[in-house]
Amino acid sequence: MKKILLLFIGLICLYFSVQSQDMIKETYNYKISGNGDATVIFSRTYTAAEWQQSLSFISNEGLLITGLKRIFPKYFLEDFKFTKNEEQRSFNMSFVIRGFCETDKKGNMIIKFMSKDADIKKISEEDNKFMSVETNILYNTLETHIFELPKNAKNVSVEKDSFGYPYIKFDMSHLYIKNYFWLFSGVLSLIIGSVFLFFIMKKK
Amino acid sequence: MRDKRWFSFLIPIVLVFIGIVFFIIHFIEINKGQLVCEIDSNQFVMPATYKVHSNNKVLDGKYYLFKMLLHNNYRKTLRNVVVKYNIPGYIEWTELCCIGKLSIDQNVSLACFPKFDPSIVEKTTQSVESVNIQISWDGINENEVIEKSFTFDMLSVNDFAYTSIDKDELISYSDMIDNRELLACYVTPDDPVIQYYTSLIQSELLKGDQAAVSKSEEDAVRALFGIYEMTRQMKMVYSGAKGLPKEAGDVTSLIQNIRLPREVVTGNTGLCIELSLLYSSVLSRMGLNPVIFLVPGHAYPGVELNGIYYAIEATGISGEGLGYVASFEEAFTVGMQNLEVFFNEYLPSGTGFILDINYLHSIGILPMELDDDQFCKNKIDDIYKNKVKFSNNCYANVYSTYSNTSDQSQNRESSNAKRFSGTFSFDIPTQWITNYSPNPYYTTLTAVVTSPDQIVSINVFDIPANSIADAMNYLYIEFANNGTVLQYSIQGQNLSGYTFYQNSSSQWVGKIGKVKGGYRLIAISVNTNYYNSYIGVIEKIYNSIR
Repeated sequence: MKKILLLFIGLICLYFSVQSQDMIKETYNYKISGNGDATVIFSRTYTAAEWQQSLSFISNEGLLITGLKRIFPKYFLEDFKFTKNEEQRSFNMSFVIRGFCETDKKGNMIIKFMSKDADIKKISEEDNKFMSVETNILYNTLETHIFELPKNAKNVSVEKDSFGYPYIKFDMSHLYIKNYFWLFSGVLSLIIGSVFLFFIMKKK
Repeated sequence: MRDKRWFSFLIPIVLVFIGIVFFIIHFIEINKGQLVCEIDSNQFVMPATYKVHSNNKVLDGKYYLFKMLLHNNYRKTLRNVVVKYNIPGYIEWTELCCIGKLSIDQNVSLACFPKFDPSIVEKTTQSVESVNIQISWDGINENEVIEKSFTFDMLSVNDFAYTSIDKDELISYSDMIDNRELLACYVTPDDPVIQYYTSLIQSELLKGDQAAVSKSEEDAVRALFGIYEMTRQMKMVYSGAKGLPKEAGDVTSLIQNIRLPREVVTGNTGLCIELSLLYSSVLSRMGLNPVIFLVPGHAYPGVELNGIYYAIEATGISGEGLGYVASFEEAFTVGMQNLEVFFNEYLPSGTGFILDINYLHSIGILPMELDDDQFCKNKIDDIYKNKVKFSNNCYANVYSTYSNTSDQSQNRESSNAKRFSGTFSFDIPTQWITNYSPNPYYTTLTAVVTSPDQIVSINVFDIPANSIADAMNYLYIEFANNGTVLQYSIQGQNLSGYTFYQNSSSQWVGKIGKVKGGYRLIAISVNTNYYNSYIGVIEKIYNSIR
């Protein structure tokens, strides 16, 4: 009985110890700000084999920055910050893409996708978050792009242009209180002064 | 009392006055600020690559003329911001974009991909050109329009810059030839002069008015023979020393003057890279898939068919290349030896590159358009016609050396069959060898189909199991019992992974499907060092698994 039990436990352990490895995972988290910039956190998780092979590349921050600039050649990138997690076999690189969002003739902000097959899904109604996932079985990579739009983004929609390339469109309304400080203060002052004057004149 | 009454009027009057002053300050403040404009430009334009410069989708928009960042530093929203540019002599005033609304503190980045006229390929000298940019918006005065300009080098059609990366930022040899994909713009199969030259090769050397190439490996070698013999018999001169950059830091040869294929033909001379471009143009014209192998200081042409590469040392045509004038057999042998060194040394070390011309054309790196030129055709007639002699032995002998011979072993067959047997199977590439039950220690391994160069193998496992997970467990244990570690990931029916042997590892990709008695796994496996180089072959076989 004891032998059967041990064999059973052994088989269970063997089952769960199957060497099933995740694919190389790349995630791009884009946090879009109201001024059209995107703060991107790029993270990559490796399989054990790839981690060993890529150590020299991963340890060279300059190389990673150069590599990222070549992934986004049309943009202006700055503020790079790098962190590595040896235990998880992963690293994070955050940076800012200035002017990431395009603007159309009607003033809407647009995020364009370079692939016609990009499948864009809304993952959160409250937070205006969208996700697109691409699997490349041949290169064993899983690429996830997550876009978090500003909280006050309005009229958010996913559409396709005339060439079939998808894009996310949204409208940003801005209220710059500080730019209207003098105007509001002037109006307030005029109203108070006028009301005060009116009551004094009436009293007289 | 009078003072008190006067005083009671003072406060509201002061408040009204302050309100008016605040209004005035507001209208002064909102007109302060500026539209900040930051420009980053490429230092040169190569006329031969004008189609790439006009396409924002090629290589992620790497080849822009300039990119610009606009930042609204005004205290008001700007409406209908229009950015225009011109390049005097090349491009008239063109609207780059119209931004409907540029809010306070908003950033927008733009990139310019100018559409040059095809006549730009007639440029035979270098010059310095300027780009003028104008930015305006609604409500702006004429004298407030922002004007910017910068200059760039317009190279000649024959100038090829191997890299656009600044010298101080070059990291590796790959950076030195970062623009290598653009060499595909110099492969001109649709050039009427090359078409004429190709038809001459086909009729004079390959025999037959329309000696169409049937896409077999023999015909691929035959095509190489035709081009080589044409250049050899006409005593085409190998121009010698100038080639690709030899090593990182070799900045003296980063811009090279390259003859177009038609110029190589009519001038009867060429460098290694020029000969490679000529071969590629003719091979492409013939309907084959040309490739160019790049190594430090040298380039040589080849052709890819069914996952097999063939290469030739094109410079064997005159004394400068090999030290003697080589026969086709000798040049082909040297080419295939070069190929072995390429895969064993240059490719793993990151200093060898393969340019797949058809693939590069398919992603938008398109060749320039050239007009017909009767003068060139007459020149070709003068040099070539009725002067070449066909020898029907040369390529046949060479081909038999490199093709697969049939094996007498019972378990091996030269694959004339198109599809592997079974309900779940794949297309077997021509000339690949199938071994049935090749290893008694792997009872699930039904067959291995191997490429002629022995680098790629398709492994067929028939596993008795009730589910995919069970099947992979079974396989994992079988591998472990033989001292081999199997790692994999499953995505539905698709799998990918690594196999670790004692001294090496291989990377594989495949599919698993239900068959009678269990599951069949079809895995395409390549040594890890060569995986990326064979991705085209792997993809073809993978897509045929069903």
